[in-house]
Amino acid sequence: MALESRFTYENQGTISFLVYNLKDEDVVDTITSGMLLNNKIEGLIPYAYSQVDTKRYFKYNITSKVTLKNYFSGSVTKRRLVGVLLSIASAILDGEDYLINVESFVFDSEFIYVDVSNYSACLVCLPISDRKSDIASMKEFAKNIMYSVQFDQSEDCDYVAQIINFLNNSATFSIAEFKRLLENIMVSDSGNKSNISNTMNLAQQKSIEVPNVMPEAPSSPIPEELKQKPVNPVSRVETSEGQKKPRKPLIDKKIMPMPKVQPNAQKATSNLGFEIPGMTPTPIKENTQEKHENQKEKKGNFFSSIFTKKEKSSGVVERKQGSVEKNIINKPIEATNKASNRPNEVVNNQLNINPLPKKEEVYPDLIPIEENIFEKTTVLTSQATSSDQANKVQNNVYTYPYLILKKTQEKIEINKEVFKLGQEPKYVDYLCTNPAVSRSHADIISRNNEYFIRDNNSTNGTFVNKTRITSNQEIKIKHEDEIVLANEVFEFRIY
Amino acid sequence: MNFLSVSLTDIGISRSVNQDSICTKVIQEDNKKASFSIVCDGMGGLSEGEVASLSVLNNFCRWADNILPVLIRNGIDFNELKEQWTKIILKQNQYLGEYGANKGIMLGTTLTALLINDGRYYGVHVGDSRIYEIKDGVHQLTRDHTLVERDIRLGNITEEQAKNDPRKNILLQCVGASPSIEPEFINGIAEENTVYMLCSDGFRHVISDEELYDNLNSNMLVNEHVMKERAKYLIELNKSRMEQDNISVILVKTI
Repeated sequence: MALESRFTYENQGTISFLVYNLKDEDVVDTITSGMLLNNKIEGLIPYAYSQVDTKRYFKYNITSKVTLKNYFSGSVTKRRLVGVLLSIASAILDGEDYLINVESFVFDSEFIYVDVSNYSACLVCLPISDRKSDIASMKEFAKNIMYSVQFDQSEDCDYVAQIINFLNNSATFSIAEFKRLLENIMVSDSGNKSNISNTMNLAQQKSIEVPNVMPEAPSSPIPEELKQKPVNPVSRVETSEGQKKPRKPLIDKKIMPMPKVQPNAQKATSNLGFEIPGMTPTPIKENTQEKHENQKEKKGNFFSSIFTKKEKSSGVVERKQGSVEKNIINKPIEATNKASNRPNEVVNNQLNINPLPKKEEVYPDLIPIEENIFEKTTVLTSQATSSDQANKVQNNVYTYPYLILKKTQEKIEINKEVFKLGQEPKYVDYLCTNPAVSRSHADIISRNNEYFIRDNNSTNGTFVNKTRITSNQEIKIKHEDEIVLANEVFEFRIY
Repeated sequence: MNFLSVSLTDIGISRSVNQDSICTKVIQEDNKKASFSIVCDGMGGLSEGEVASLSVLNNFCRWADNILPVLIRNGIDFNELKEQWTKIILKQNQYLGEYGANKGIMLGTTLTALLINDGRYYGVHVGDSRIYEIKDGVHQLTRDHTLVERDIRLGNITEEQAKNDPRKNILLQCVGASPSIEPEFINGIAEENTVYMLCSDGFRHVISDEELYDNLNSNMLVNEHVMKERAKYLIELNKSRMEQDNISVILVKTI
């Protein structure tokens, strides 16, 4: 897609930016740009505009968020799916309050960002005049998602049918109604819904700061337009202030449901926002939801105990494509005993080949060395086919590669194609208890017997052999590479 | 082109069965000669490796006795050769698979074979036995079909790290115990006064390339007696260095 070519990534200290490079012919829509700059709109990514010489950029702060594409890889739970769709619908509706056209939003799953701790998605808004929309409609976008996502089969999937039926309903589609449907689904979910209901309530309270200086648009027509919008907060402005009074910011500032990461608030001593060679910056602590902290801690222990125990029972592991590895070492020991008991068996084919009876030790003078099964040649067996390997030998692993957590020597098996590391218990495959590690810090990807690591816009960065890696890029890792998440040190090992 | 050839196998110091099967022949047809050599190393970690290796060897040797003379007479077409060899391999793979299934075991073998005719060499290869060409230096002509070799090629581990890899003995494929096989084929020019060596992996774990060259270069191997004596020496050297596996080697010199 043409979009991809215009986006780049930038890491500045602890902040990860998505950067859009404007084309020469792009005209900045100053109204929308102003709205984005002056208001913190929930569901939209914080935006900044910058210009260097003749090059113009839009910058979006995506720290600690993962792309929708990554978030929806693997099987997706109801909470995740509905949360994301709901937050996107809300973002579009909220955007309308700020005169932001749905055409300005980016609907590419590689450029929609999710905060894994609260299931909420944020959209990139490109304030460009006359921008063609990415998608035919929100309805098409939602349909695409519903048809491409793999739903968690362990849950009750009625909600899937509900959503798809709604989307296929040929009557006119309204985002507000879609949002209501999603909210109902969420509410009927008997799990923890206080998070979502908070978001819902707060969506009602809004503040609008109309910028005082607007270079192009004349100031007077705007209040009239605002007046015509049938949204509650706007009418509040009208009744309390009237048209002729100078515009003032409204009373309530929006309260975010959770404290955002504020890198500058906790002044760590050597953190200058960039790295000094040879000096490791003190990593920033991640703020996590206080509400869920207790729950998280309990869950964290639960999960980490699962993960540490797993390494011992590596006999049979299920992989995404349905192949099952078997430990074949045990088998031959029995089999060879059988063979030696039947020396006279005749092989029924071209030639009679009798298996030789086992001899006693040949060199009794030497120190007896056990015939160790582990030193003998053996062969990979496979249970399922894998499409990508050229030489048709399967993609299964005799043993998985693993990480060693340096401080405890804990062994963490990388037994999934996308193995997630971070602090968010509901989302990751290995839970890091180190507070400097981001919620969805990094993923280790196994593909065609090669291994890669990808940083997901983490706050404190991911380092391979002491070099910080760029976010959202797969970096190949090798045996004995040192991997550091923030300041948590691991060693990657293939054997 | 004429050939000097010797073959030698040794059970080694710790195994109770020699699961290597080896053979070297010179086939003559119409005053033309061809050399055919084959090494099959049965999987020690599975059962009845010696059954598997001998079975594959016998089938290839039967091909060499019956069909190779015709190819020598008419000239060798490499594509046809590949087809014929592939057929034998797939048939053997199936046969050993069924044999094993009936007995409730898995058995398999490597296969490495070399045909030298009319100034060219042609090879087929499955597993981790090897073919070397010793001319001005020691050149390995085949790639091991092992997990570790694949990791080295993919850049996951270095050769140095591979030395300590406990997965060293894991093959990616072998005849008899793999659901599908892709044999590797090699071919090239065979000059005079060149030594070709086929060996099972037991022969080359603890011997360096320098030692191979010092002992097996064409100046050294003047006749078959010396060839046999050098082969014996190297096998004993392996054993003195505590090599655990069966040890087999075939030497063919073009003259």
